[in-house]
Amino acid sequence: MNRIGVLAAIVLGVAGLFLYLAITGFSSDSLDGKFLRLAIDTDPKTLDPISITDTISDGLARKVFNGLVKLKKDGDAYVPTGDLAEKFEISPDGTRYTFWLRKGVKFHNGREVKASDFVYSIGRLLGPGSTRADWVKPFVKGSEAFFKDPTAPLGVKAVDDYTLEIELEKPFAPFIQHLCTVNLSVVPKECADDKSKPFARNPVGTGPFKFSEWKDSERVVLRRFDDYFKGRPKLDGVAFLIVKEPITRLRKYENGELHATDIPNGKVKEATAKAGPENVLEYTTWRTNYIGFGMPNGKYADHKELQPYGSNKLLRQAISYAIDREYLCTKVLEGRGVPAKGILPPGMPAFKEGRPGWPHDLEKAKALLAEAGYPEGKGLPKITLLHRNDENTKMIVQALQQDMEKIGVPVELQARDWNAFLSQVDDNPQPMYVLGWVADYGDPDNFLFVLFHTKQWGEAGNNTRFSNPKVDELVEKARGLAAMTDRAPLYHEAESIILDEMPWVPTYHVRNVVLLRKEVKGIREHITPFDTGTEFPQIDFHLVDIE
Amino acid sequence: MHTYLLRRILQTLPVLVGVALIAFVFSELAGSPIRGLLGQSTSEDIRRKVEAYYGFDKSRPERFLNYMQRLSKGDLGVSIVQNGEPVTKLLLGGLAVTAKLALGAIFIAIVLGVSLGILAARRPNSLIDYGASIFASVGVSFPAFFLGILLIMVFSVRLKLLPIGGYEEGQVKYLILPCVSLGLISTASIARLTRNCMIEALSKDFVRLARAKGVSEWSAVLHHALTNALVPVITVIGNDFASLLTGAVLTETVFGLPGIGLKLSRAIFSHDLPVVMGACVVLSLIFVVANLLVDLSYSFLDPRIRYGD
Amino acid sequence: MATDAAILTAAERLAPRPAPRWAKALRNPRTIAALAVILLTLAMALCAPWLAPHGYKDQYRGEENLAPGAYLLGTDDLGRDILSRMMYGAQVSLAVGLCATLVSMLIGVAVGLLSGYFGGWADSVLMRFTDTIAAFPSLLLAMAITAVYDRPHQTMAERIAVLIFALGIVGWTGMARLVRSQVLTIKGEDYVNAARALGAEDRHIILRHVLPNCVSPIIVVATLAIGGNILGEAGLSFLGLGVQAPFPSWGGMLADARNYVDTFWWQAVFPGTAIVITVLAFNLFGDSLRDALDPKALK
Repeated sequence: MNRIGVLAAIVLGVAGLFLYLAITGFSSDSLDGKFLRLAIDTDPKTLDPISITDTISDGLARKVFNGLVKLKKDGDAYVPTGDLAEKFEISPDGTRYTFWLRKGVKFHNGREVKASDFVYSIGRLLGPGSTRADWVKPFVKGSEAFFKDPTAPLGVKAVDDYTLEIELEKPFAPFIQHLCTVNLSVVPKECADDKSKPFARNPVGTGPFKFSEWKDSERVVLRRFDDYFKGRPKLDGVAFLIVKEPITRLRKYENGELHATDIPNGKVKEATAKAGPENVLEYTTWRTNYIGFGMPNGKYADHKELQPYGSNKLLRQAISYAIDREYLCTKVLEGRGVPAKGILPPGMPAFKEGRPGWPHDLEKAKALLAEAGYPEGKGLPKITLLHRNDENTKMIVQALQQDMEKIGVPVELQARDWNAFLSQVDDNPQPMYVLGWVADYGDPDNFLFVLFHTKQWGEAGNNTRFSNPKVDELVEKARGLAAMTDRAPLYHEAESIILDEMPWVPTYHVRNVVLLRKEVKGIREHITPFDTGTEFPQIDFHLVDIE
Repeated sequence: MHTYLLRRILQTLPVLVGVALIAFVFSELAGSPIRGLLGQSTSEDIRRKVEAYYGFDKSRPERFLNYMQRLSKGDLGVSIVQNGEPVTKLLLGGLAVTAKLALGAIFIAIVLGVSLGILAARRPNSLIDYGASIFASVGVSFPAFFLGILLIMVFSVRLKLLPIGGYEEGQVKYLILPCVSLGLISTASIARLTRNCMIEALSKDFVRLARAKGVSEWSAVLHHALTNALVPVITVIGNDFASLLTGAVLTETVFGLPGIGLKLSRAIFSHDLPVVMGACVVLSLIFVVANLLVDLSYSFLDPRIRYGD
Repeated sequence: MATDAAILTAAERLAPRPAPRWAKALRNPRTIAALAVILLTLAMALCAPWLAPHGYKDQYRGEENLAPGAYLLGTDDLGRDILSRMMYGAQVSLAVGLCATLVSMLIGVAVGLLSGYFGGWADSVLMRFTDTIAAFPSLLLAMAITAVYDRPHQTMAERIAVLIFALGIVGWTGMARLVRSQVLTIKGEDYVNAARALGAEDRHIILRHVLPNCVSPIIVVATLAIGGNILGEAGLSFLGLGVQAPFPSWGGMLADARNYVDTFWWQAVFPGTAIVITVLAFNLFGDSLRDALDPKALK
């Protein structure tokens, strides 16, 4: 073979191999039929209910799984109602929950769901690999012991095939809300225990769609489950395309490759105008974003870096008035935020109407700064603002920095990736950080207890290390009461104390502005404040249809 | 020859162990991914249980030995962040995409680079030669991701010919812009090398002889051109292989192609240690093998180079 | 002792010295142009605080995403002047590009000298180590390093040091191999043998005989590496591993502009062009040096 031959062979070989690989690819499911095509920006971390903590995994898994109860809209509130349980009853002392299950509900593998499957699934949530045992522990009787030793007795029992009983250590009103989370979905033991098929990647549930395909970084495909207990779904399937770049998602929507998409930064006005109002979906979510300040409380008293911002509430109040929330929401976020006036998002039970908030007021901010002992910011040390290293947050903190420097508070930004950020705020109180909290369920306990009670310091949720005996007392008392009308005044008072002390400077509640084709029916009219992104976790997907 | 081959293969073993060790050290320094898995509110005993579940309760040397033990059996472990997905499967999926990207880029680079080199060498110091040399200089100075953005601006935004990014199996349109933006950069170095080799060859007596014999100039040029283009092509493919893989990370980021580069950068940012280590080992292995093949092909192509004495 | 020293000096006289050919390189218009661009960029970077029309983090609210005009190169999505940000960004690019090259030069020369001069097992160990580092795709290793060294309360200077370290530590293998091969050639020369026969210490031979003869190729290769390191820094910043916002870097500005490719083209085109021009200038300058200093050996 002469050299020209070799060269030609190389060129042809490379070209041929490329074309062959590019065109053939590996075999994958075709999406013929009535598929709803949605986009997600990254792979779900897992589809195993016990390890779900991120919103994408949650959104996907809810189409594959069901739990005992789910949230249902009732007027303005969202109340837990039966899902796989036909009905349920809570004993008058608030410690015994009885669920009567629907008959004939089938897993995707064809087997009928029995009460024992719930006993297994709840026990599994306390077992190895579970990241959300907190929903059950320490509330369910025996859960602490069971967590350490799975042979210990647990207060969950199957009275018969269709009756389930859960016993609590003591009354805990939000427990029924915990049961609405995806983590407490029912799973079939024979599939979850099958080591040859990791359950996180081969989920089997009872939901309207069964898992079909997951190609890493490319797509997740769910297909219709004909035996779904609420009736055959109208769609043939749901395809989640994994598209990393926001601008690419928007383009794909505009080309007709997607039925719904979020909108990239800086493009909301343009994209919504182009799509027309009938294709835009807009609603406020139950998410509060805030600036947190580490408090020099308890064992952190000698942490020098928390001074003076952590010990002087006038400084924090000055900052709150210096923030131009209006500009942030309308210009930087282009309408994807609502200025926050408190901690609880509007519409949440126990949300208090008529709080004044902190209108942008430089004079007042400067006056508070002077009152705090730092006129014009003289003598104030530079404070580090820790934030998550993503595009959105980066833009917001730069706007916040400008606002604070305008009244003389010198700020230095520090970005860290999500994992490192969490370790840092969990391990030690940080002088200043930016973070948000989205309601896991519709109960103020999920904000005011989880994030502000002294017992919750650190990784449990109270990252500022805020501590106030009165607040502790109020939120603890509210936990044990059953009726929201009794609990709301307690939460109002607790929230007022927190807002005065200001461990948080609440900035805005997230407003979801997404494009959703008008042909898609069954989503727009049922949207809830929990439906972040475009995965629509709370929607009943068996009713969704494309006209 | 055989002893040479054997020696080269044996030499790669310590290199791979070294790579695994370095990858392990960096992964360890980066810290475990558990906090990211748990989210914003978890009690401490639950974190400890999850850490133990993923083996983070063991000592570092113990973990490294376990890893090497499994590695020697060809097992790269499972991803932590991608909940239990085998690393091998994850990386193979990425490699399939990266291979397409790299092959397409090499193809573009060879065809364009050799043609440019020939044109430039035929008339040294002509306008074409200057043009080609400017192209080559600018080419090596261009960041692949900026070229990608410019191509998107022209071909996706203005002309609306090709998708702005994303990927679907079996569709060539998603690969065209990434391949071009990655390939043009190697084109520059191939063109430059081809030109220099050609000029040297064309000045030799046998070319003059061919001309004197009445062989048409083009056929003489082409014959010698192609003969002499081979070594630079192979050299550049060999040398540029690492930079192709590196460029692939950025190109994949710009275009959102789910190749090995994108998966590795995702793993680095989410501290997914088994994936980071697996990707380092696999990429290094590819790199070492590619180098070996290039060295062997030299001895095949150029009889003056001999190994094994 | 005195005699020894005298003999050594005599031996040194035998050693060929590279003739200064800098003047020749400077006569080429291409070199002058490249040097001018480099100096101009350097001047812009150093004088950014005085020359820049605006601060790098000054946001002019209501003037977001303005096309070039009132602001010479337009504004970004937070209403900041792109020209000013580019001038400050040049500080990062140049500091990292130049210092990373210095770091990799030092490591590469040290490894190459030791490995080539002493040979034997030192050579084997050092070259295997070199192979190991070279077997990593360089940007990925740099990514891993910069991602790891992301400690709490990192200052700007520390972050830049991390970038320098990361790029320096991945980029020295070529230099090491080059120096090693040079040393292997020089080692066999008569004057080195003469010096060794006269009992000169290794350190003396390395520093006085071997190293000076490697200087030209080292300078050429280092100059050509600067461009690569500037590209490396831009790549890391593009991936979000660069300096902390709001301080600008060219790669970071490109990353920020990614959402706006279809509307606000200037936000990507100007910083990108700055990278290309600067890297091009360093590459052309390196080429000229190579042609002038060592036209044969390095081709």
